[in-house]
Amino acid sequence: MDFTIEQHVFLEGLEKVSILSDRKNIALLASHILIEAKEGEITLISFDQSAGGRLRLPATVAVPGQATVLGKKLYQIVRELPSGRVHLSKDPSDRKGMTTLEKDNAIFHLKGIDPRDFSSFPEIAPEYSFSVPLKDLLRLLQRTLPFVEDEEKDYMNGALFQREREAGGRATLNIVGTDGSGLHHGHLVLGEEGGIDLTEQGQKRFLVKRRHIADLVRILETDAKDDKLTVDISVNPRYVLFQWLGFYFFVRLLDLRYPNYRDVFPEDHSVTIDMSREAFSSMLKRASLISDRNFEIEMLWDDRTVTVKSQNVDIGDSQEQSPAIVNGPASSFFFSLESLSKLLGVIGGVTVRMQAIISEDPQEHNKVPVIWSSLEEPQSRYVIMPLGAEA
Amino acid sequence: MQNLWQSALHHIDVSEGTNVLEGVREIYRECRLEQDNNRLTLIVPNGFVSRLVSGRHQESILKACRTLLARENLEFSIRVSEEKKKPRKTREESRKDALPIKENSSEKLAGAEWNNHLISRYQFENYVVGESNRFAHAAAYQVSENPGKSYNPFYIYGGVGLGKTHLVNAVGNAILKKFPGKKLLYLTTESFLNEMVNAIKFNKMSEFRERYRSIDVLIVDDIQFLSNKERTQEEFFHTFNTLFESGKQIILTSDCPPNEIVTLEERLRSRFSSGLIADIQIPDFETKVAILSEKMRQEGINLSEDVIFFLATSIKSNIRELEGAMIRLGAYQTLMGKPVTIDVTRRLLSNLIQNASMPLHTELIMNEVAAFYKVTPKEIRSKKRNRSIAIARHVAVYLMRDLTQMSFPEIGREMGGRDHSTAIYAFRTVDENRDTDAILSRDIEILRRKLLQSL
Repeated sequence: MDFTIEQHVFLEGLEKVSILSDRKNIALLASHILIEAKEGEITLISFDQSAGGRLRLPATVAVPGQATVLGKKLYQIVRELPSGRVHLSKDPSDRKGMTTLEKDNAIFHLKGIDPRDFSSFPEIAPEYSFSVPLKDLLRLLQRTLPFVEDEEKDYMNGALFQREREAGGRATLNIVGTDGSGLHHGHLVLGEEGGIDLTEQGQKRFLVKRRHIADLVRILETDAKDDKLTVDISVNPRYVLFQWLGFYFFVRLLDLRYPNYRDVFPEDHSVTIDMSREAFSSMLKRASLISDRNFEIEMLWDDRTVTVKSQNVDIGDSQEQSPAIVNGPASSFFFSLESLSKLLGVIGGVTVRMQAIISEDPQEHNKVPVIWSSLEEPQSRYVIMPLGAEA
Repeated sequence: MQNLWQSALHHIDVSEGTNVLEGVREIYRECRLEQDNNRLTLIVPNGFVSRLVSGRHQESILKACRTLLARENLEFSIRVSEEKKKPRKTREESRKDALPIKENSSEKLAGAEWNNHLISRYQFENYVVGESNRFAHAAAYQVSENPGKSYNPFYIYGGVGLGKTHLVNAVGNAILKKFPGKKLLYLTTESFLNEMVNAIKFNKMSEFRERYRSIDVLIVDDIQFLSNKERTQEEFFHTFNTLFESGKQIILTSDCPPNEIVTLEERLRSRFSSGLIADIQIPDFETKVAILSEKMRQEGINLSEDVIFFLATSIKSNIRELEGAMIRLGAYQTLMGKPVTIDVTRRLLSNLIQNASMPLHTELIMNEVAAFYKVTPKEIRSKKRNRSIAIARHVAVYLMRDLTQMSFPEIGREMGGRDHSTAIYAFRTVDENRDTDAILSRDIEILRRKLLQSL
């Protein structure tokens, strides 16, 4: 194999593909990138049993062939090279030998594994597909990720993607993540990009493992500056495929049960509280100096203010007020500081809204989910469960 | 209009009670009022504040404004400011931005958003020039025309509140107008130190160095705070060298010349002194009047000429105090709706004016001179004729004459009962030698500055 390629083109491609090989303590295969050189282009491939990425890049290929290199390391090396053409070559008779990378006066010899150990990259035949603007998809995934369970259990694991198509053709995409005490539900109207499929109206859903969502977010972020990009999503019973700008990222789906997230959201609310997100976030930050992440804070409100109280038997207590616009009766909840911090780490906009049902029965008071949202980000809503009355 | 907004809030406190605005004062601080004939518009930072105002305080605000402006038919509306804050980053974005950018980093930084931290209101156009700062101003202007070529480094020193920060920001703003592609950074020494400490803490020294060594113009305020900070001096030395050797412009300010910064490494001292050093002195009366007039124009304050003259005469120390006094008078005038007179000025600014008119005590002059020349006041008053004591004696006489209203006979008496002719002789000796004796000139300058700043 022998080819030359522009350093910045190579770097942009490696930036995506190396994310998939950026793992510790995993199989050797998954930490390497396969480079295939054919006429006029090279293909970078990284995959393991559950996910993989492929990208074709323009190159001047003198001799076609294959090589494998540690993905993350190759990215780090190319990142340090000056701009200009980079030359890679590998002796075809040396299957487990070195790949040589040269640029000006720098020469690297990089070990690899046998390219034949890479099984062929799956081509996924979709059952249905749709498109989503990249920036919208990224935004929703970024807000979902902190709420996605990461454990190996068979319920509520992973991030749920649900595509609904109504009669008349309108399609929406819902993305949901929950860890049992908090939940994010994001939705997008797909419009013309709602896609074409062979089924009629109804819903389609699939589950993706947390670490693959995290990889997808990192890869999407590399193209986040381009407002006009669209991601094509294709799905069959075993895989989902995300494609944009020639990058092809597939993920094996989780075959697990997932709760009906809509059941979590009450139909109505008896209290709505609007407050400045910045002020609320600052109050919590200060409260957390007293009450560390393992403890709760108390949030009380009357018709004009919200008060946050925290206490710690070893340190002391604190109390702080902020103005709020309240419609509904005065009351209070206890929340886990960790859950609220997670919420405020992702929620954007200027005004945070809390909606809840205030039950007269103290036994029921903390059992109904509390809904959070940002007035400036209507595509997302969150559930943070209050802590029990005995907290 | 910021005065009217503050006045309106104050009026609500007085007429309706301080509990009305309780809890919202901090939020409302970011608001401002705009007036167009009979229409007042309250500009608020965001939709939440808009709803808060309209839901709770709109009537009170309108009532207050109608009273203060004596206009019953005033109309009021609320508008959300169009100035957008930078979008908040999510954790993932913040984490990504924390990754080091190694390759082509200077080009990438040039293309990315760069915050130069310049204070935009400080321009050459609104910098008042007088005898006290003429040289510094001319040199600063030259630097802005040819950064990196004229005077490098450019070192400006002077007492507190005399306009050093204004001048160096004016240079920066002028450079960016002329050379929009240049990467410029203005910061205080304290900011440099804090950034360095954070970089060490989070193991980001390479990014820290990359940031500072890739810029075209570096402006550092209050460089005297490098004193006693060895690690910062070390880092600054390397930054200075890298920039200087690449022909990048460095501008520094301080409260004293380089050779007076205590415990400054010699290699830094010599570098700071290797370019042009310019000082800014306390402005004279005419310059103070000009400064006040300019500031009043900017702030929309209108004080009578005799009040301006009174301020310029009474407040001798620095421009910052002068401006502070002017703002206080302006706010009083707006709130009370009455013109400010000299009597009112005396009353409102009694502490400032009292301090300013305190004369320099001869004892203070004697003690400072004695300490400087490492002799005692007793020795200065004595008959001893050692060289160091004699010099100290002459300098003491010179400064007493220069900084107080004392006559030569009074000075003679103060110097241990000497004749007035001895005092005259001592004064003339120093006065004639100042121009030719650089050390003497420097010593007198240092002492003068110290004594004036102690007022």
